[in-house]
Amino acid sequence: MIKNIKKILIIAVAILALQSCTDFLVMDNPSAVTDDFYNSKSGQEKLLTDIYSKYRDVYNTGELQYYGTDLYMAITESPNERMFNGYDNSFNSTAGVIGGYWSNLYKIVQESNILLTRSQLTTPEMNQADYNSITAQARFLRALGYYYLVETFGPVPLYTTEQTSIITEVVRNPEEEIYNFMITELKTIENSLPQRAAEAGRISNSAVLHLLGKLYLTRAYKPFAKPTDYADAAASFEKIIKSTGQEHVLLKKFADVFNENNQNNAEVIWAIQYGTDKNYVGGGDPQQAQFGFNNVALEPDMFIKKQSDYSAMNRNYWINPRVHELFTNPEIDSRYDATFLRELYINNPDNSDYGKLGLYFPRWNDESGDTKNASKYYPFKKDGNYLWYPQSTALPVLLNGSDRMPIMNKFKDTKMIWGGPGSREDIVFRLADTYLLCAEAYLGAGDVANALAKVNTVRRRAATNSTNTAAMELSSITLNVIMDERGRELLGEHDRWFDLKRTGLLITRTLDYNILTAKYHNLNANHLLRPIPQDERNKVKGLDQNQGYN
Amino acid sequence: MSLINKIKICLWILLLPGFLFAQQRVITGTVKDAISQETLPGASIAIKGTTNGVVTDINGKFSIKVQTENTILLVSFIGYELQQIALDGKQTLDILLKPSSMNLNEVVVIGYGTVQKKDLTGSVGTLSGKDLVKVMNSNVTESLNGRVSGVVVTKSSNRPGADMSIQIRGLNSINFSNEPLYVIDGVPSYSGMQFLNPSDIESIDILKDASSCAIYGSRGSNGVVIVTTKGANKTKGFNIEYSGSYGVKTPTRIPDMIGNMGNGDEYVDYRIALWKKKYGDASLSRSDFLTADEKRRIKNGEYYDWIRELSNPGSVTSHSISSSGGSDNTSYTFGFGYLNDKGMIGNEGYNRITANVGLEHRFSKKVKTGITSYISNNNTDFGASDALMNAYLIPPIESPYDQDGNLVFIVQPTSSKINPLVQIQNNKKQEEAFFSNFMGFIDYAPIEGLSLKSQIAYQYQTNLYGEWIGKYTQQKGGVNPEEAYRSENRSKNWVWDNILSYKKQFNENNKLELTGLYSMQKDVREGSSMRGEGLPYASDWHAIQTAEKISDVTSYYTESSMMSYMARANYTFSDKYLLTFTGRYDGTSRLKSPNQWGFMPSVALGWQIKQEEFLKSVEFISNLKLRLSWGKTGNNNLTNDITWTKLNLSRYSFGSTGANGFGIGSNKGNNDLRWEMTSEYNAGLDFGFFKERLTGTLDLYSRTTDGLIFSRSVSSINGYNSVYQNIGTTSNKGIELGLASVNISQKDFSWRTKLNFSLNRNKIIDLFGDKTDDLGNRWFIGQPIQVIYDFKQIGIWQADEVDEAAKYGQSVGHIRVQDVNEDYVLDEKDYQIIGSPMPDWTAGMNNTFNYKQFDLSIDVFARIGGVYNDEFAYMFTAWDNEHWNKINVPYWTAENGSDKYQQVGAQSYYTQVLGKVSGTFVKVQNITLGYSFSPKVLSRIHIKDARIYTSVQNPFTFTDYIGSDPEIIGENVSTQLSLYPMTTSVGIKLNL
Repeated sequence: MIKNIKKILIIAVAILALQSCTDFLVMDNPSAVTDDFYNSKSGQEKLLTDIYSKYRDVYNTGELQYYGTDLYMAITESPNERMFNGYDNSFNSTAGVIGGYWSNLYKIVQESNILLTRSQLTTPEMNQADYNSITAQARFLRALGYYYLVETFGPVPLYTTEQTSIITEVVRNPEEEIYNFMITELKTIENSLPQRAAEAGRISNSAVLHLLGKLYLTRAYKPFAKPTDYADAAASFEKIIKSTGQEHVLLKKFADVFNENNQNNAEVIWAIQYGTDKNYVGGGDPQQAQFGFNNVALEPDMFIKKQSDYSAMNRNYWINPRVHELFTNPEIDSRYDATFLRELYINNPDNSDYGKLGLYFPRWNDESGDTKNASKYYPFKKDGNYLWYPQSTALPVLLNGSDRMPIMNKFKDTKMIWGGPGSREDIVFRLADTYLLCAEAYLGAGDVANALAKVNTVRRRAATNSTNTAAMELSSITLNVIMDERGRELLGEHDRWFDLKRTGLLITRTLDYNILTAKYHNLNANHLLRPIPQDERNKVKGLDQNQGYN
Repeated sequence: MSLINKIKICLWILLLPGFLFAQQRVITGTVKDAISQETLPGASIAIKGTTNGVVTDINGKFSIKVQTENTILLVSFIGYELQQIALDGKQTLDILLKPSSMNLNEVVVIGYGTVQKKDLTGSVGTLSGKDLVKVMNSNVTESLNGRVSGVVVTKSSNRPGADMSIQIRGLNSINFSNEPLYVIDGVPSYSGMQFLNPSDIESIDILKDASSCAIYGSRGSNGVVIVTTKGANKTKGFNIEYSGSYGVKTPTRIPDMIGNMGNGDEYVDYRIALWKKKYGDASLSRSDFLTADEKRRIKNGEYYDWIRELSNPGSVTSHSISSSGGSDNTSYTFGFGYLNDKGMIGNEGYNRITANVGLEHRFSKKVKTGITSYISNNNTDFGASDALMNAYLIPPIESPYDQDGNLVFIVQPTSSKINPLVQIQNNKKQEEAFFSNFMGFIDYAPIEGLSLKSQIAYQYQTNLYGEWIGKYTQQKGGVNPEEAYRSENRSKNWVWDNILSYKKQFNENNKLELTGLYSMQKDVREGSSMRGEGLPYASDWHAIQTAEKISDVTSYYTESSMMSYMARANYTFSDKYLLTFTGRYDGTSRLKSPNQWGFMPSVALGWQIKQEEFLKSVEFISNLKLRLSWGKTGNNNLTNDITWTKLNLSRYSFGSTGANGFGIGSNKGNNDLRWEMTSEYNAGLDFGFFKERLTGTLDLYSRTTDGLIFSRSVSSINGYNSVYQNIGTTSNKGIELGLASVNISQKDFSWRTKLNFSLNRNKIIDLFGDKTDDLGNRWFIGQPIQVIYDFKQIGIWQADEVDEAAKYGQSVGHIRVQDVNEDYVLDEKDYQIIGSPMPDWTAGMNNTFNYKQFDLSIDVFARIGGVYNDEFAYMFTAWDNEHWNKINVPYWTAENGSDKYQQVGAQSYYTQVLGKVSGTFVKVQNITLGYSFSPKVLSRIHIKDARIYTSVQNPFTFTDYIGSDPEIIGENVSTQLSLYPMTTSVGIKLNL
């Protein structure tokens, strides 16, 4: 018995001894990294890259840039399209799109705040030049995030440092305060980055100046405008145009700007990057597929899936046929033919007419009736009505739409796989835009001559050849003329809705052009702000809804 | 003489030489049912310690030769309690067998030990291996549905090898798994039971109340499922058992698509109505309205029913063989199983090979040692993505074949849909999963009643998943390059348990049992994956290095560990009063110091009321026991690194140079997290009436979970979306009832019924301490954890409501939802709680009829109530794609005035309401007819038992659900979509 008890004791002691291995309860997970990583220079650089990557989604949210404007319209009356294009009375704070947009922008803001709080000259391995570069980029990206927040939602909570506790209550800071913040930030970083970025996709000093000018210009229209805003805007744009190194220039031909083999060219100030590497392309640039119709699906006998010929168009945004009429003289304005693909050749080898013209859309003003022997011919108008409309029962005029239109050709991408992620750069700022914004700033400042000069520079470049450059020039200018010009020059590029809002032309021009918006006839001044996402309002106190939304 | 018989004789000679010299005598007797007094033919009588045995004849009589007058006879019969009878010199015997429902000596596994059912104080449900084999489900988990009260099984799909999950007594945790802890032969397992061959399972014991689960402490709050495989028990002699079956699966309840079963004109009418409504009359002349081929087929009445074209009968084949035996010192068991389950679409299938070995050796009365190992290899062919989905979507006016009878690739050029019959040839998705479980122990009993057991168990699991997407698939459209994906994962899990147990009977009335445990456990998981695009030749996923582009390369490693101390005391006083105390102290690496350790106590009382004097004379009550318990358990189903604020890898490109970024993740970690604890009260009553003709168990419980680890959604102004916090309280209250009755018990005919019923009510009691709802997370005080919060459909706008509809910007034929605040704006303020995806109650019923050698059993399962979100019902009624098909339900027309489904082509708002469907159904799960051969016949061919049977699974389903199987409502349509099988099988079971 005593022997047994001894044994028990030995075992019990052995067991208890094990208790000392407290190390046993330490978890190892080498696959994950925590936010301490941001205290290192490498972590800060990676965080900056992450912020850049989040801008892909900002520019992919087409509902907030294209719908409900003069140039683009919805195709169907499905709820989401109708909300953003029609501003109908179902448009409210539960629309999914705005929630995602808001979240992404605040993520950009807070990540920038973390970066700007953590990044110090004392960060190990940091040097002055890198510190300047990292923080300047982060300040730019944060200001741009706030620009979209304030223009989309109006007064929003303003945070400028890393938040260590959970935000459960907020105040909506006035727009004026946010504008002051953004402008001060950009002025602080002016001249701290190279005029043109060495690496495509990076923020450059030109990008800083472009945004700074745009902020002055936008504020110039607002009730809290400073009297110098127009002039400051023009001055900022001129710094890019007249920079001594001529880092950014207008290319000689309009079409060259959009040549897929000439990406990130000298005219491009800042573009979102995708590339062909599947590991980095993400969901890809959707721009190549958004403005057209899927000819392969509609005419399978004529067309096959061949990326070098056509893209798998998902026709998200329909180009309003009246936009074609903006190109008043398509014979001499090279932008018309560079922008639209109107001749679709049969590429289905099984078709007896292989290689011949399958679908033909003449120039909008070509009333000759010449079908070019195309299998199918779609003139601009038929019986006085536009034929280049989607087919729909939404309006009588759409019943006879051809459901086809010339395909947007600027963003053609042959380096991607069929229906796959688009690989091209997505231009956000380019010099022609700088010229047109600069013209707008001069016009606002009352300097019509300089405004005309800037617009005409862009227009002369667009001439089909040197003999008709003079014919391209305008002799008078108004804000509406500039918006027309922006429509021609920048069709399919970003932020039409924001441009219209800035200039105060959103309501008039949209109701004039966009027949579906006009049909619902609900667009009003309240719509200059989007609703605050209800889901966000549920989670914090103090986030009041914008006027006119529930 | 058969080989088996030779072996038997050899063993007989080896093991029992002594009997050869003994004197023989003949014993005769009759075996009867103790209740009905009917004689029992076919009962077996064996001499204890030998393999000698006989069975009773048609009159229940037997005669057997024995060696000594001290011989003990073992009398057994299926459905009856085993009896041991000492001869004591008697020559004739009248033996009464009690039906096994009376069997209070039944042993229940309770974790780190067993207890006799009569001494049980907690709430434990048991399913024996026999029941599992009878119902023949490939996945053991499915067999629990309707058979154990308080358990709800959810199937993800009807594809072979699909995952299943279990909920015991409702949901406790909001963000983490509510899956119970599985303990397979002593090893906590993370992969449920799908790797196990039902034939290898001795029993499944389900610990339900907290006092039972407290033994597993921090892992017990969702209940514990203890699986005991057929280990080396002390069976002497030699036994071989074979069972095999073959079944044919046919699709049943195929959803009614428009124009199916050759009725294509119906689809053409639909197509015309859709286009006219959506695009106007003129659209019918568009080239993409109908292609030339489509027009030709319509003209010729050439229609295709795509689902029926694609599906074929599947089959299920199974074979299991096991043997067991032993001597005084050593015993063993060996088993081998094979299952092949072929699905009904393409290559879908699942096959499983299992092998298990158990060995126990007893060195002396004091020391024994043993090992058990279980190996299972599982190959799942997931079939092809999109194939079935395409079959649903492609309308009957398309043909899979060209004019020459060859398969075409693009069957509908105007949409993107490709031929599912081609898809299934070019898209492969396969998984090979290997599961092994090894356990070894040494048990030392230095003095009587005291035992020290040290047990080490190791579980190793790997899986390899591969996918090949050929060029001619939906994904690649015939133009994009081939793609392959491969991922490998493995997990290693070891547990070292040291168990000390002590049993002591102090005098006649005091019994004490003590159990102590010290345990360590570590779990490691790691894996990697890669994807290749542009592969030069058909290499499946075995040559990804040859791809033009390699992407999605990942690897991971994560581990967690746990240390535990546990003590349990069972005290029984005079066989009437039972008391159990348990305490467990667990430390986990998943939380940070000082919150790593949690203490989980429990106490339970049992009162055998029938043993009291005042009830002894009450004849109609044969058993009555009251159980009361309280206990606390934790939830360890947290992610390993839950306290960490992890960064997200993101990818960007500067020019053509790729760059990696690290952004803040959507979840913010929290170092201060504590255990989430569940405490539960359980009151149970076990009863038997009329000499156990009617027996049952009733349990009432109330459980409260505190300090829930919430992934609390926070405003994205923070930059992240959620943060883990210990907040909130939830409760589950419920009733469980199990009844068993012997309705008829006569000489040739008997009828028994088993019934179980479960009801659980789940609600959130508090969230942030101030009794306010969390709208952002859709959590509402007083409501279940999961609710469907959305618009409520109140009909379809009818012709006479045109003006009212216009106020909402809607038209006649659109879905009408309730404007709760009547402000003529439909927004989130008009959302309401539509329901919760949890049944109101479930019930299962089993009826067994025996007539002579025939047996018939019918299983019925009912799940009543609950509102589920179903993608299938939504997609195939809400979508109005101009080229695709949908389900044939009454869509609104001016004539039918439907108040459920919108007008075709109307582009209605709020179509999401169509996905909210009721979960109610009643199913006849299984009907089995069996025949057991008479022992007389069998004994001539040296077979102990033989039974053949035929069965049909899922023969009848009663439901309003418009998809195939109401049990898989919510099935993921893009990855899991499946057809509902009815399986007709024949099988045989032999015992040599």
